[in-house]
Amino acid sequence: MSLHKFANPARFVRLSSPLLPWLWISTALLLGVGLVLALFVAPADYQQGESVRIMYVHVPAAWMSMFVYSVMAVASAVALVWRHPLADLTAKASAPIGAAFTVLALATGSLWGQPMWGTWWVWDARLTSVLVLLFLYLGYMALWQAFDDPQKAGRATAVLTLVGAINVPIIKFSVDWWNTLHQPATVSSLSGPSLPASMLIPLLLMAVGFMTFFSALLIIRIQREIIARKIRTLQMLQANPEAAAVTAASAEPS
Amino acid sequence: MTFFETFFAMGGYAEFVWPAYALTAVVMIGLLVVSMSALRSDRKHLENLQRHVRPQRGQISDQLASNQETPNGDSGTEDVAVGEPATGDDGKA
Repeated sequence: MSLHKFANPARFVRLSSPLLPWLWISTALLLGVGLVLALFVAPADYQQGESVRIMYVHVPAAWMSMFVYSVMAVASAVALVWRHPLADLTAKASAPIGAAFTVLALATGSLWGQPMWGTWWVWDARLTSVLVLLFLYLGYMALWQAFDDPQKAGRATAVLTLVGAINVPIIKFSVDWWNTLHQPATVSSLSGPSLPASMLIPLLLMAVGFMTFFSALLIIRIQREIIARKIRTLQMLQANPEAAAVTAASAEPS
Repeated sequence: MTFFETFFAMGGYAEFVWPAYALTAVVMIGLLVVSMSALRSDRKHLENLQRHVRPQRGQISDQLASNQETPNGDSGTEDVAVGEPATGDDGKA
């Protein structure tokens, strides 16, 4: 019951809007300081030279590509089990952001791979599983387009998301399970980060900045989905008042 | 070489480092612009719909009125205007 209090779209808009300015200010500060440290202060790598600076955008983008998918998986589970009216919208609003971060992870990784490995691309476990992640995002967005009824679309896409969630641990552990050109984890390894503070601090600032950016963007996109649903309800009301009454009542059990 | 020439040369990796940063900036700013403009145009669309379509009193208008909140409160007065007659009618009836 208490969960359904927060399920009210109007309440979501009221509670989330005041957060937006703070999230944008945090994003600007974190990314601003992070960029200065990453580009000017952090040392060059003794093996990789200045090319290591690609890490400060590549690694946060790659983390976000997996984090956003995890958010979608949790939202999808909530949508299927509790029929929480915001859960579908959260997953739907997240997908394009996740896809964008995945594209960034792949592209910046490619730009890093060419000088360091001598190749733009290799079909190894890490790179291939991240490519699969991109296809999951794209498949999710295509599936939403395939349904006229948002309820059916929400259910089908939630099932797809949960099935695809198996890919997230595969990506994470791919560098340990298979031989790969990709280097193993340096920050989230069991023995703690093996990165010097001069590199770790800018990396974490960038990562947290990406996270606040995602949060702010997600709020904007969920608010847009709520408005789009109101528009849909109003248009149905115009076309057929009786049917719209039923849909509106079932779509918003607030 | 000046400081900036050295900086932009990125130890010979300029052609890889700068495209990585530029692409990241373009994609993130692009996402923001697309999302903001979609929110803005849908908000305008909804306002137009609400201005032209005054739903009949009853279940639907109550439901819509209860959800009538816009994030920045910039059209807050209008929301109240749509919501109020419905509750007012109920009170008199």
